[in-house]
Amino acid sequence: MEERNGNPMNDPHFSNSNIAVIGLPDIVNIETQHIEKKFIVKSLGIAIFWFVIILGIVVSLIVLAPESYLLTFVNPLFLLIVLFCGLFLTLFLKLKLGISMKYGLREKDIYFEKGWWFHTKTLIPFHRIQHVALHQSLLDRYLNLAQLRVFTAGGESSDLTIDGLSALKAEQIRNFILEESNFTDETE
Amino acid sequence: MKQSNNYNFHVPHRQSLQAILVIAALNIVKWVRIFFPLLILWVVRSKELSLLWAFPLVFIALVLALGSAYLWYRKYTFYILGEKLVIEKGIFHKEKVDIPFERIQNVGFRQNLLQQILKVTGLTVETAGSKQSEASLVAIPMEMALELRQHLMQRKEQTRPTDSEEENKKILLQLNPSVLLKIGLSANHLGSALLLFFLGLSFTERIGEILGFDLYDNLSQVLLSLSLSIVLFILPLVLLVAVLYSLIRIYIKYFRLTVLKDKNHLLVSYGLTKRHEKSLIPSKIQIIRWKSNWIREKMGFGEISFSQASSEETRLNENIALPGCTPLQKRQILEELGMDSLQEDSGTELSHVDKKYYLRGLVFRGGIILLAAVGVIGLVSNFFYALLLGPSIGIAWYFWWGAYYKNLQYCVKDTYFTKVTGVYDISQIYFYWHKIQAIRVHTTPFMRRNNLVSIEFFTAGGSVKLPYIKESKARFIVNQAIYKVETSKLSWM
Repeated sequence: MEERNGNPMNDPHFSNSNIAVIGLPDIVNIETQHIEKKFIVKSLGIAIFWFVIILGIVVSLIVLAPESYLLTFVNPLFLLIVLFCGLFLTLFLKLKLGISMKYGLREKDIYFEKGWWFHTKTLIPFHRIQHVALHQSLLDRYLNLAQLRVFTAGGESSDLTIDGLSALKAEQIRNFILEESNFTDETE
Repeated sequence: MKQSNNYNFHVPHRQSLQAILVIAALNIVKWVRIFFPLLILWVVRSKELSLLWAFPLVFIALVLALGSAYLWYRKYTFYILGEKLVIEKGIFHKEKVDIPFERIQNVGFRQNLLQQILKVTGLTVETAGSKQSEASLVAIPMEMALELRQHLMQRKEQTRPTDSEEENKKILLQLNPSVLLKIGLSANHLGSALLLFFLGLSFTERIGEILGFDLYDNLSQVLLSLSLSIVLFILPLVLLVAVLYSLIRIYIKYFRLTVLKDKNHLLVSYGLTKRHEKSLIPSKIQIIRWKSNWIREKMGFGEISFSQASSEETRLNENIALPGCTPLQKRQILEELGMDSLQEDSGTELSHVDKKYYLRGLVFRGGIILLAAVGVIGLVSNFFYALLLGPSIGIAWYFWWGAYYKNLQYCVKDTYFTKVTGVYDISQIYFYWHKIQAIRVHTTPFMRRNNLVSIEFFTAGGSVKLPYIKESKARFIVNQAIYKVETSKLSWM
């Protein structure tokens, strides 16, 4: 089968239905799962946190130094409107991104899709994985979340970062990948 | 195996004495690079008096460079212990590096101009899967380097079928100056001409500033009065300089390029001022490109290049290009690399990507280019010229994009994937399915509405993108690729 030459697209014996019968991988029929809702809440929370800090700076600037250099250029009201618009846009994009993130595991590969406007689906076979890393920030540890990073030799742009897994699930996935392939792992 | 034993590598060796000069020179180059802005500032700002400081400073720098190079040379020893290459180094902080033979991927020689004059060579040891940096010797005699390489690659060579000496030295490709001339003349000069043109423009602007003459204020006048004569005079001049520039660049870079067959890999060496020696190893090759343009096709040659994965940790890839290859030489090289299957091009039916790619690019990208160009021209000169130049840019984009779309073709084969792309220089890109590391499918709302997707294949030597494919077809291609990767017994490296 490997050695056969010619164009398989024109080969009647190589049609899609035939492959499906013998159980070939199919990117469309992957069972996927959404990431944890906690992660979406967390990313929204972080956005709001930074917004509050910036808002605080701007408001104190307006109140304490109304004659300041910046405010002679921009109308304070306009500045506030821009800030709020920025917040709503960020929240909207973060929400859409969080909802769009799905992951799936199969016998021989790992799958991840994300993106609302620019949507990407990535598939990495286990035996091309160089190492797997788990990453947990302080906040993640409190929320019991973890980030799984999958590295291949295909360069940084082909590496996979799966956010918003529960710590237990991330550990399970890592162990599963480790079992399926033999290489060293790293935990951060 | 015939093996000269002039050197006993089991006792610690120092490098040649010439190493001191080479290291000192490298140090000085490094310092000059670091302090370059400061130096410029100093020279510009200083009066004659403070320039007197230059002499003692240069003297101190020389003494420091030579002194540290001498110490480094004294403390740097290398020897073979069992199945390992051991390097001891460090002036204050002692360091000992062990490199087991089995981890050595490749041993390369490097010669810059100074090393060539001093008749010594640098030697680098590439390893895979290690966090330690690869070992490098700066200056040893050529015979010693050859013998050391023989020792280090011993293990690798034993596992290979031993060929006769003549077989090992089979020359597959050799470029003489006349071929280099042809390559230089037929290169794509448009890019370098444009670069030169803009460099020249910014330069005249600066001269104008110095002379108190504002170019842009007078641009309209200049354009009006001298437009034709300037175009007739400056354009040929710029083109001539561009051609000369590519000729010199190609002559220096690819001087005496030779491809030798050596056991089961190919040795490539080239360069005038800096002699490079690289190995083409079939298992490390990820992507193969065959590039030609219509002038070169008429002359009967093209350029074959290979993206290789280098050590796993650094995740860098290295590109080896062999210009001036005739189709016959290309076939021979591919045969020697065991990639004959890529040759079955005659029966290949190439398909185009979806027509919507063309339309979208024409309108969307063309619109952005037009807006940017009109905006820039409108800002620097006046609106009239912008309106004048706008349509011509639009027409240029129409033809360029049309040619790009027409040339963009792909084919899914049983063992490999191939894609043709380019406008003037047309490249055919190949990679084997089992070299794939990851696959990514991109879509935008526009593409989703039209049931289109773009596929990106990642290999350890870079990625290949296939834009705007019908969803059903893309599904077939991705499934086939994944199936090949997951069932293939062949390793990607």
